[in-house]
Amino acid sequence: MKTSIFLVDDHHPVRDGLRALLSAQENFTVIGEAENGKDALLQIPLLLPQLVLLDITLPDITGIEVTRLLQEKLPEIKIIIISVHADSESILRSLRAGAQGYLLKESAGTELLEAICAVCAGQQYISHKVIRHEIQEYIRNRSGI
Amino acid sequence: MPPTIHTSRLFSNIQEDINALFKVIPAFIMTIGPDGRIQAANDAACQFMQTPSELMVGRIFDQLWPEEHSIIHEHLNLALNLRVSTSFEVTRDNYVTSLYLYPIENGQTISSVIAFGLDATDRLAVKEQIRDLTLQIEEKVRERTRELAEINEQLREEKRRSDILAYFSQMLLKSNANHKPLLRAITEDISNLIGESASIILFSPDMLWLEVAAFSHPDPAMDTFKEQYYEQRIPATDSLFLRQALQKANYKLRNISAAQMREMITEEFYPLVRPEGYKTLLAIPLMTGIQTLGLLVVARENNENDYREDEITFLNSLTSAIALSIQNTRLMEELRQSQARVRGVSQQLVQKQETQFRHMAREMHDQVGQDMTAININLNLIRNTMQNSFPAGVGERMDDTIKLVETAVDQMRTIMAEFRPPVLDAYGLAAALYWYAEQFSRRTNIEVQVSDRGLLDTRMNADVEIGLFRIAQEALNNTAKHARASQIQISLGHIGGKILMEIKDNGVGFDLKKRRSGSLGHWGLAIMRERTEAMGGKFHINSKPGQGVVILVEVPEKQMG
Repeated sequence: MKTSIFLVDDHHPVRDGLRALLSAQENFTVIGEAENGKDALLQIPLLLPQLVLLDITLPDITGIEVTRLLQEKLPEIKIIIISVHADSESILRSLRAGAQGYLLKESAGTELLEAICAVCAGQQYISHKVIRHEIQEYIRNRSGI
Repeated sequence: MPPTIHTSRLFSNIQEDINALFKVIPAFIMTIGPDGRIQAANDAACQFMQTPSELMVGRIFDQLWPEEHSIIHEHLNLALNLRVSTSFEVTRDNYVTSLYLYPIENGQTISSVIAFGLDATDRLAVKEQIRDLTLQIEEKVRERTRELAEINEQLREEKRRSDILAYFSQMLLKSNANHKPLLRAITEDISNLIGESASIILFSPDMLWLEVAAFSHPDPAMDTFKEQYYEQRIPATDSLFLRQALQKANYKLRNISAAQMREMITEEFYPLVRPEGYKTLLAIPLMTGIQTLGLLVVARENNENDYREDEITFLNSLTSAIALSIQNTRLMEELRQSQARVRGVSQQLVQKQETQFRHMAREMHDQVGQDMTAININLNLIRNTMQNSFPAGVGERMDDTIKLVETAVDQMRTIMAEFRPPVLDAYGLAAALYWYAEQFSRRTNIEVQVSDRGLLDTRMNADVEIGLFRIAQEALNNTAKHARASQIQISLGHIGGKILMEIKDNGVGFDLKKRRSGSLGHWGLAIMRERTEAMGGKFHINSKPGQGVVILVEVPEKQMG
């Protein structure tokens, strides 16, 4: 059975690229797309994808907020945040909101399939470029949320 | 009292000698019998009485001095009846004679009285002269005392004036803000010290307006005019008085009626004119260099006296000090304004720069970042699709290109974070501080602790967020450069409409007094202070050598607008 994927990104070429990349794979199917958070929150509960690729920067609400809302209602849906930002704070917020993966956009082409596989297997995935122990340290030190 | 001379000794064998003596001594000598008649008189006595000796004998002694008969009679009585020696002075034809009466006892009865006279005219004259002299001296002393008292009073007044002058000069020199209360105190003192009324009129720098800055009059009823004139701009219209007073020299008028006064001034000042007119009116321009800043006007309505030279000197000195102070105040104000303008411009520049940075960062992330993402995805797609059909070497070039894109985005991110940290715009100040602290610690090995006190998800005005963030950045970098600290504590707080940020290090600190200017650290402080003030906040710094540095910034909270 193919893994159903929903794409959320306001940038058209990125969505196209992601879709093309995933379509080339036999075991993934893109079942829907949205270019903003609200549309995503309307469609996803209806389509119930197994995984959402979610841009962190959206024109209306943030990807982190979308993640939090989705996790509240549909915790079984896996979420991978794709982001231009590589800072620890964004990663921490994404993970705390309930995302299972954090993928840097520039690495999306290279690491996407690996990330999806890892997350679907129940693991956490963070882009290679991000130094893991630094993130862990930051998460340990950082109070709040 | 002269001793009593006994008859036995006087009238025995030396009688002849005595008679001879009688003749030659210049004093007059007479003997008077118990009946008061002259028994004998020597030549000097006859001469004195201008009577031949044969006519002297037998005459009643006290009748020789008809004008002083009673006093002589009294003394003679004392000598004859009470046997008391007496002495007194009598005047005759402007000659003064000292008379001594000695009773001569003969057993139990008085045989005679010797009258012994000495010319006392000279002695008395001397005495008189002495008395006159004494009187004169006394008068002179009194005069001198009066003069001294006057001089003393003058000196006291002069001292008071110079004290006042020194005091006011000092105060005027110090006052570079609102000097009006001082000018009012000055007119009060002039009014008290020199009289009678005093006022200070100031011109606007463009000379189009004037105002009564200070006014004092001995009549408390005139106080109401203070309310009327203070803080009121009056057009500086042309008037004789003004023109004269502005000739850059003192202008004095004597004995002018109210009507004459009104002709010289503008209507606005009519209510100030006293119905009885003025005995003296003196206007002294307040001048600095070529500019006339105003006038000091003093007037006497009741006191007939013109202003004395020393009083005018005092007033002139005072006006110089006043003019200097006003000039200073105006210069300070100009300086303050131009500083504020410069600050305003620099604040605008900073704000504009920040806006541009933010815009640029967003563009770079949203556009360039996204496009690079698409490129990266597409390249991967191409590579995946054509994996086995690339000509020799192209596959490697493709892999390199994909990596190059990733590196380029990474570099862009690093560069953009310097201009505008995305964390700040995305999550606010507290999150940005956590993020920056981590970066900073990794770079410098200085431990940084942040406590947000519940402000983690509080969004503030974007200017406040970036402002406080930049201050923290500056403070941390200063610490890294100068403080040799191992720990920094950043605390945020939120009290009564204010956002507080305290940054404390455990470094070497410094002496605030010694760190005036020049050093780089000073520039850092100036930048932080300026950014705080741009947000309408207050910047505090505290440090002592060996005790670290504490910076506290408080800025008014602005809701996200």
